[in-house]
Amino acid sequence: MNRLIKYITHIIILLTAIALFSACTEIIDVELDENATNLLVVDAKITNRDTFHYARINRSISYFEEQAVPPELNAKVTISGGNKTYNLLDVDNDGVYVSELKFAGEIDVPYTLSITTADGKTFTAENTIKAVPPIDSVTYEYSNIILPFDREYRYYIFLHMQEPEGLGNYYLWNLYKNGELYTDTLDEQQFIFDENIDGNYLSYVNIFVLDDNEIEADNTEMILEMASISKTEYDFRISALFEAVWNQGLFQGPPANVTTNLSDGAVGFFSAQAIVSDTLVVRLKQ
Amino acid sequence: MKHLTITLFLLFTIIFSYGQKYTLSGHIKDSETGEELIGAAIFVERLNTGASTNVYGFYSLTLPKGEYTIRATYLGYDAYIKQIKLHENTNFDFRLSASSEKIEEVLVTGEKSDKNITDVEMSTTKLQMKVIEKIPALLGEVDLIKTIQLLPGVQNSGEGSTGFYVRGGGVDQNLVLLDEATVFNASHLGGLFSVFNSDAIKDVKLYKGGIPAEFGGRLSSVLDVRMNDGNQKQLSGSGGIGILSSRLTLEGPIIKDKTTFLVAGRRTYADIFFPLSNNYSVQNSIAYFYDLNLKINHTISDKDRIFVSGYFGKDVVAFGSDDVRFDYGNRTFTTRWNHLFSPKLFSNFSFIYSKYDYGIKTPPGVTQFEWTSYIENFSLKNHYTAYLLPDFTLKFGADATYHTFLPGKMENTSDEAVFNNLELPLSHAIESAVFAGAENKIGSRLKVQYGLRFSLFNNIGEGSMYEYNKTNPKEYTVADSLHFDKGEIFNTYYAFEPRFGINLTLNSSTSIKASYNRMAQYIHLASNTMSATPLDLWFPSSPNVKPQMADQIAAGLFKNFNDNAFETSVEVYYKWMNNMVDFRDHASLLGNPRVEGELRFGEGKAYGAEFLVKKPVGKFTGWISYTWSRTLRNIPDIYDGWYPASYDKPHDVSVVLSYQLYPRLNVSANWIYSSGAPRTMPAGRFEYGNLRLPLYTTRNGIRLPDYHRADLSVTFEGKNYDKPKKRFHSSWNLSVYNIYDRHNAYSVSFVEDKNNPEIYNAEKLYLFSILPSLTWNFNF
Repeated sequence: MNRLIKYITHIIILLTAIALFSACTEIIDVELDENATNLLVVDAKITNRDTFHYARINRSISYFEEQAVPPELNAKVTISGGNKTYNLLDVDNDGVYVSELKFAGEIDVPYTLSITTADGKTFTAENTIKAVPPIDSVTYEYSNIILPFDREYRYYIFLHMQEPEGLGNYYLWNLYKNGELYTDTLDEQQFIFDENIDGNYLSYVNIFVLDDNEIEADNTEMILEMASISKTEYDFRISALFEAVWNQGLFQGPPANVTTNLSDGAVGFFSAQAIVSDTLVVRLKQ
Repeated sequence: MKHLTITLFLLFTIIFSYGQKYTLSGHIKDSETGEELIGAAIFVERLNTGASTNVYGFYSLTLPKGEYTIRATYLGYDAYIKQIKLHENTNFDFRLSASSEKIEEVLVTGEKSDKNITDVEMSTTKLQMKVIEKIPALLGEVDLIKTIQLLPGVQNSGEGSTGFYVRGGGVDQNLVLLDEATVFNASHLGGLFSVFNSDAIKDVKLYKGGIPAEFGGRLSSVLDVRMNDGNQKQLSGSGGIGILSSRLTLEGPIIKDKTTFLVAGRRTYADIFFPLSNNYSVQNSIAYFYDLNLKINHTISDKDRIFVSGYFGKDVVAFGSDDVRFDYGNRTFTTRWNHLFSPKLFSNFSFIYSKYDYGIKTPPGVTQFEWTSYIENFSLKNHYTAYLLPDFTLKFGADATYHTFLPGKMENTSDEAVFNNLELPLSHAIESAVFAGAENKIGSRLKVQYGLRFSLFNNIGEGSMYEYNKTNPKEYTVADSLHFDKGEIFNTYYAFEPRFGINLTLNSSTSIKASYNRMAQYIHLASNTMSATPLDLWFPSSPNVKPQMADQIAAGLFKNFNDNAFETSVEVYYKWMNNMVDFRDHASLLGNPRVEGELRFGEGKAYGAEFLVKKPVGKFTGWISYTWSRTLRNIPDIYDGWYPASYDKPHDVSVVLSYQLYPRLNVSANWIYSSGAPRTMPAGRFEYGNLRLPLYTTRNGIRLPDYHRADLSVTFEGKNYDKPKKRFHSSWNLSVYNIYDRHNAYSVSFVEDKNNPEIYNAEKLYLFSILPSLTWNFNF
């Protein structure tokens, strides 16, 4: 669905670019309501992979404040589910709480993230890992004609898989380049729900596009990672992109706070994902 | 209905035959073109009474047997005085000549009307194209909606936009009619220009309040636009060449004095130059809009006339050989039959078709699809006007409209499509109404207008709907889904809509007026954005969506000075609105089969005071208006408490001046000031996934910077300006938009500083710097 929104946004931008050849921007002074909230912000994730799990916890600040967001220290953080509780500790004193042990989350088990801050307040979030179908293969094409807007060469990465029948699957895709997360900002990550593709064989579905200069070496190893996400995460991502990316400029809609699955006025998200991936070797300019 | 008509008809016949009275009726026309004049006045000097022409230029006046001096007047025309001996029912057409305002000594004969004092009508403005054409225009495109935005009580929806808000009502609460057909989206180029080609338009009237019973279906206003009928005397034309578009209108008789035609076209031509670009994407782009107006009218006899008119317009943006495409447009078609049952009973039957649609085609590949959406309606109207006595006019009639909505259809164009085709079910509804309204004079000082409209709305199958579980106001879940068979009426709403107006004339130049109206609105517009986008999604009331209702009271003081040379008025209004439609946060409106689950409802209130000083005739014309107003909303499921609507701009000033400097040279200028529109802006921020996300504490709590702008235009007439015998006339118009280059904020976004990613700046988007344009206009 975010693709549809993207296409429409793209088309509207082109439409208005033609209409508004003289539109410009200028920096202005705006007096914001600086009684800013000092909310707890959580970025935590549990997956079905046997690994260390983390929770990044910090605080919100005033909009124009020129500083990094302050980490939340000395909190007690646990993830529990299926009669097990895992402690997460802030070893480096930087607000990043990491599980003491490696563990793998289980499919269809509800997990609870619980955070008790130094001042004794407790915040919780719940999420459940849903099963993810396998990927058949990942391919790419180096082409200058797939997007009709220009004649630039790009790398188009395609996914091939069977989407299982039954509505209610939500997918998230990430790309790793040479072992590192390449889609490291939220708006680069692709996600979709299966309302319009339910039960279909997905063949040559273009998930990512890399510009010509984004592949610097021959035989670059790319990993396409696909995760199942919850509906709440899908909604959270849509609302975050609305606020941070899409809802700008000419066709601004009424802004609203990003959704969350955290309780008691905290913001951010506790994500639960089952992950599969496939590796691809990309040749330079071919 | 027919039964009622006959009964009433008999009743009138009885009333009419009482006493020795005869009816003078006919049309008031432009002597040169034969074009009927709407709202022209006739005045019987001895009896101190009069009438005015209806939208077909027809008047009817019943007087005791006798000899009268009758004066027909119309703004911008010389008065026509005629002695008439009335000893039988008489048909007479007045033919008025346009006053040549440019020649000073004729100035006095230009109409100085006191209509604004004597009419019951308030909160209403009638604009003539002659006035609109002189106002400086963006890119030289004369635009009647932008002129309307300069009137008191009307706000624009953003820089250069043709969306308008009347007395706190939303863009979708304006009923925009072109020859009686609803225009669902009156904009081109994403809202910068309106669909009305000024050359094809005869008359424009905006009702902000005191809306007569014959209109209904929208809460806030009626914009009644009438097309030219076509020159009855000879083939004539007009047109213009501007930097954005060119226009050409041809009109003339098919059979002299009986049948006329009008064809008017307008098209932009920027895309003709695209292939010259060396940029691939520009070279392969298509972008244009066009309008086509067609009209034929035929006079069968003194008693019967037929009008057929149509409008077709489209905006197209495409890439490559139609690989990617976006288009939208309106189509309207109106057939009308005027019939005089007697000189006192005027009737009109209309058949009206109207459609708005848009389509999107996404880039090629397995995910390519075409998206379409439309709203379509068929209407029948049967309206009567009975001129019972000079001081008593009765209007009554019935309307019925069949609506069809296609919220969206997604069709794959690829053989190996991965998307399923999706068709959101069509929905159908019938909106009907009966009304009666009367105007009469009580004594010499008091005039009252009263009416009642009964409106009825039925959802009709085939259709389907969801029932929702509303325990979580942030997100409704589907509780049940229902299906209805073809022809099954599955939901009914109705409303009694009283309308009332009163005029107390204190003296020949002063009156006090008051009005009340209730309006019901059964179809609604879903839009996520604050500007006019073409992606309009209209949807009907249903078991989940109650009709919107508004009550408005208004009162005003009207006073003319200097023998009606200056008109002034003060009006105050208060409006309550119920069942206002809004959307939950981050609502998904496009392609969503459960769009009703995204709706949230609440109430609205709007109040204000409007001040106007106007000089309608003379060398120096124009107006100054000031409006103070507030518009507030309360949608409990979205925000706790009352908050200002996104177009709540308390102070609004318009100065519109036009001066005939020399007979061939007209200079016009306007200045606009309004408070900045309120927006929701962040108080705090947090980070997630390397994105900076905002935190909001209030809704529409911070205002954009104040808006102000001045425009100037100079019109230079060609040398044939004062030689009516020479057929070809031309003029040059130089318009300068935003002459002191104010960078008005259209919107504010928050962006990372280019040098320091830790710092965020507020950045305004402004659409236009100083923007001159040149247009050459002609007529023959």
